Amino acid sequence: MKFSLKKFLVGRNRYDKKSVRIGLAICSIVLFIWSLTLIYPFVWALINTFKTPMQFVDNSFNFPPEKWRFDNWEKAFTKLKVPLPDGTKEDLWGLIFNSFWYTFIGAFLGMVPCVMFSYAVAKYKFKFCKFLYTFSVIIMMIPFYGSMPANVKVFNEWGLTDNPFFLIGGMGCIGGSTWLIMTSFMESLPWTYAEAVFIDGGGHWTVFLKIMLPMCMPILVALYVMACIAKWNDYMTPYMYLPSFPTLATGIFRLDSTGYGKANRPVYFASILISVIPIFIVFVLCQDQIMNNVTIGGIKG
Amino acid sequence: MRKIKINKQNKMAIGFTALMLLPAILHFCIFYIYINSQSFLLAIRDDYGFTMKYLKMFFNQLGTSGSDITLALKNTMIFFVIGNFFMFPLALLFSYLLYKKIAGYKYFRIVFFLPSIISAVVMVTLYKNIINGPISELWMDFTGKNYMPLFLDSSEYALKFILLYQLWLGLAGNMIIYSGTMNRIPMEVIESAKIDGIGFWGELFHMVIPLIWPTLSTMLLLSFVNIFGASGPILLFTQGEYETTTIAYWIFEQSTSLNPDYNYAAAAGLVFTVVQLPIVFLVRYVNRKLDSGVEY
Repeated sequence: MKFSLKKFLVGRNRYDKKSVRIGLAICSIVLFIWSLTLIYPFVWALINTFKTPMQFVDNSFNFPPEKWRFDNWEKAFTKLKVPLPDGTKEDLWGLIFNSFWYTFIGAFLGMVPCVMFSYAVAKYKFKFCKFLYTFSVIIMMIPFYGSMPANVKVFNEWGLTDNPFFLIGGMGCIGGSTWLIMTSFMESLPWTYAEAVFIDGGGHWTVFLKIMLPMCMPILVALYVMACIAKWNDYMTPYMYLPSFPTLATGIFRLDSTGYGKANRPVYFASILISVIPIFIVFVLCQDQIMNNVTIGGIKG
Repeated sequence: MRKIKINKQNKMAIGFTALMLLPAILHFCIFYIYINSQSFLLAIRDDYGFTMKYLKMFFNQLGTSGSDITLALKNTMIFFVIGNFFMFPLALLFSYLLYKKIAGYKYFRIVFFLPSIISAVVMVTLYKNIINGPISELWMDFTGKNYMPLFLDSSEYALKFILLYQLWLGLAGNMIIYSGTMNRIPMEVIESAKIDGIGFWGELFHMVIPLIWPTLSTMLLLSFVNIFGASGPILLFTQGEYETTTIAYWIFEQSTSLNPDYNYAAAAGLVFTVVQLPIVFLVRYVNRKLDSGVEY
């Protein structure tokens, strides 16, 4: 596709009124400056990963550094250590490993009951169908502010705290918004293919697994990627419930105020940038899937 | 859309549906009903039996000006008001500008969405380092003073700078949901209004907002029902120091400190939940009254 500067500068809006066109151009300029402030911290951090701690304290704006320190990126893997409750220490590779299983398995487990529940509510007519829908909406709207203490206490009692099986706690779907998005998508799917399968003698599972699930793929991918992003960035839950399995988000939070990370900021910045890369790649790959598929609609009931 | 009707003749369908619903319902019973009932019990019972001690303690604190609770309540309301009356319209306008494909919209769509895919830990750390580093240095040069301004470590500034952080990153809040919905509005509807001479603002207020109203009202509803949960990343910024604590953070602090007071935190949570209920019903009532009946 040919890049047109004029199109880029004026945008695609076709308003005849000059005042509107000028107003939109000003909006673009303001947003552009705003966007620079969002990018600058990352550039600033990147520049400083190539400096010594002394150079950083001396002048963090200075670029290029007098002497390039590429080994800061290597040190991020060898020197940064997060202390664990049992006295051992986890390095950056360990944090990455924890982040991976916490994110990808956790998000997958969270999706399974939701898909099943939404499908049954969207496509099967049974006595409690309407009730389940309304009930779920009501649950969503009544937040229990004080359930955290009970959560901590019960999870401790059941031995789920500091245990990878903790992930089953996140498999809930009633009262979340994921099922709402999923149900509204599934309701809009045509049922004719399913009828054809029934006529050919196929069962409910065949329809669900072979016909409906593939048709739901766009929304499932979008929701899965969004769930992954949320899990990858979640620092609170692993911080509270999985102290022996720090993820990148929790690890980086703890490194900020302790040990080598506090003393050597350039190395710490390198670890921050490393933590961003994987989820950024996932997002770039699935950007269109997310942007075009997620709509929530109104809540009925 | 047709649905499969389930009756006694259709045993296969009954079994299938039951199996499909089972995991979600089972999880709900264990992790929602059981835990929340425990939470309720924690508020009114301790090791020695039923007691109103913790509720009384909470109301006592609530009546004392300058206590942690009153401070947390005040800050939570500030976060709520800024979030709903300032950032909500701003985010909606931003989504509309993207929908109108203003100059550079593809670039904005990615850059302003970055904070949503990058961990708050990273964003807050960078923000803190920029504020305490370059910004503070600039402030010293500008004012000619020879001490650091403590923007994030003083009661005078800390909350303001956390709010500034929320505003700085919040432009793309819910952007995905808004633009997804706006893009579903049929082109013909907008085109016909354009032939009738509708302008930029007219299109926003008379076409787009009414057409996406069900989605908008859902988002508003969801934020209104979480009034007492409004907060910023307090843990990452100040750990509740410098008068920045909020209700959500306060409950977190009570449950995870070295000597956790589960009962007291549960009692506070119970009160906030009860106060919340009439608000939920009121907002839902208004929401239903305003329902336009159109949906895309």
